[in-house]
Amino acid sequence: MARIDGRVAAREAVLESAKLAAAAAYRAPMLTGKLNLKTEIITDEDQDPIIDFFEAVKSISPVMFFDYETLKYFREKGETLPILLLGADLTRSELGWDCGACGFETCADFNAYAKEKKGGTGLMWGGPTCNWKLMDFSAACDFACASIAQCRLDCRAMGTIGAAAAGVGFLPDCSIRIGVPIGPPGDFIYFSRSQNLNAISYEEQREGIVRTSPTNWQAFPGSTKPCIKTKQDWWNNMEYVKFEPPSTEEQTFTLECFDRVMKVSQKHTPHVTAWYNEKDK
Amino acid sequence: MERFDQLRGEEYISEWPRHSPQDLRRRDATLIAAKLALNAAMTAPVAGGVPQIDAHLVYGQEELEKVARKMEELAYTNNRWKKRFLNEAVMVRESDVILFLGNFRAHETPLDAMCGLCGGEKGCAFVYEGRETKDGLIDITDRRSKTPIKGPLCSARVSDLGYVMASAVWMTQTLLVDARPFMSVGLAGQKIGYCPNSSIVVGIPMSSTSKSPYQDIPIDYHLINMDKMIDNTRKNFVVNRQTASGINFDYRTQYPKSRKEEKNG
Repeated sequence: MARIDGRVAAREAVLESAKLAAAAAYRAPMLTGKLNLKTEIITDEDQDPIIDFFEAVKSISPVMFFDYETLKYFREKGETLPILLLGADLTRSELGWDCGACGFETCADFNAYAKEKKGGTGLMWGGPTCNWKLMDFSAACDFACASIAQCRLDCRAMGTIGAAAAGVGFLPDCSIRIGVPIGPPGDFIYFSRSQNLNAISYEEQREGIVRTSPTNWQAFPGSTKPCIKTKQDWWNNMEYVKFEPPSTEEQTFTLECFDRVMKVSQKHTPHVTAWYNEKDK
Repeated sequence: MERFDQLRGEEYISEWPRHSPQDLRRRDATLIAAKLALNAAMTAPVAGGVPQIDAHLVYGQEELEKVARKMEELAYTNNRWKKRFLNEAVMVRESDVILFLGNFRAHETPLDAMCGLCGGEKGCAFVYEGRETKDGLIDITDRRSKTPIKGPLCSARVSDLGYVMASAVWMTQTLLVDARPFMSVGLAGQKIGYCPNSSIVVGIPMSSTSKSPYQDIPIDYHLINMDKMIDNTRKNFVVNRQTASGINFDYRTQYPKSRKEEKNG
């Protein structure tokens, strides 16, 4: 006979669900049968490099900022959200289908481009990507999430975590990575994020919406240069949408941010990748 | 309460013969499952929750045959997929319903997030430079293409289609309905015109029969399958009943005796 604190049991169950999700990912339906899926579960202090990366990049990326706030909140609370990290190298096609979806006439052309450009990444992922293998990878991520949902636990497939994980050396041989944080047992945290309440002020939130959806506040456009009703007395000192490249200050700010990101990356990558060398011994 | 008086009846259900009333009643239940799978597909997680999915439900003997024949036609356009397409055309004929799912943004309205998935460091330029564009707007009116699918596509959108497809399959598995997603079925459906706004389509045939049509596939399945077996039985037994026995007595007044019966008088 034993007595187990329900909260403790629930935390353990969240970790177990991460393992079941990994199993579900490998069981996902495949269009190609050629996906080499890699998965890893990252918990507790092993998430710190990812959180550090988020912190370095958060000033230029709101989505990274939101996810940083969420991961950090639960890490500091001592209830780290286990992350199921999924990855794959999608930059080779063995299919020979020559379907053209990737933009090349043949798989051979695609492979030749991939060989030349491999390692070249965009803001989040590497390319080029075989679209059919990509759908298989996404299916694996979806099965992982669906498996967690069937356990009545919350999760969210996040490209941000995948990108941050890549930045500090997780799953080094992959061209795409998705992080799925799981749990905690409790109310919604990945949508309507109550833990982020104080992260952004009301005024900042309002400005964000006006900035991204100006048409909602657009005045009569007959002049072809309509003002945007940015304030209560919008007719005084009218404000307009302008098209211009980022200012020197903004560009410097971004470059400084990238510099911080590089430093975080250099700090953590050797330590994170050492784990793979140890594991493979 | 009168309407409840109508809630009565009986429905005989059996998977044989195919397309008989009792089989159609069975298929009707697969159609319900397919609609639930469609719901699951529509609620699948996609980047930013942006609506981007075209879907088409296709069922009925003639409709499935049309898809199977298109797959057979496509089979002969590429040796690398020929066997696969021919095998899978048989599976389509043995299915109850096909759920087609396509992405209508992958070619026209990319994610525009510079993610790098489609072409690496070029970011979104890889897609935009590969298509007809004007000031960041992609012109899709020229639908001519040298390849079966006109690329490049926004890989982030294609990735979302993967989630959508898997959520649909997850639902079928939860309902214990057999299903599997196929590129071949999707391409055939796309060529026929299903999911009319999509640039990339997957087909998920579904079946609720005692043996899943999508597993344990023998060699040369397009030649060795249940339809062919039955047809060959029909072809041969018609002759067998004449040559082996049938024309040798008048069943109304005669019946050949076995040796045992003759012996016993």
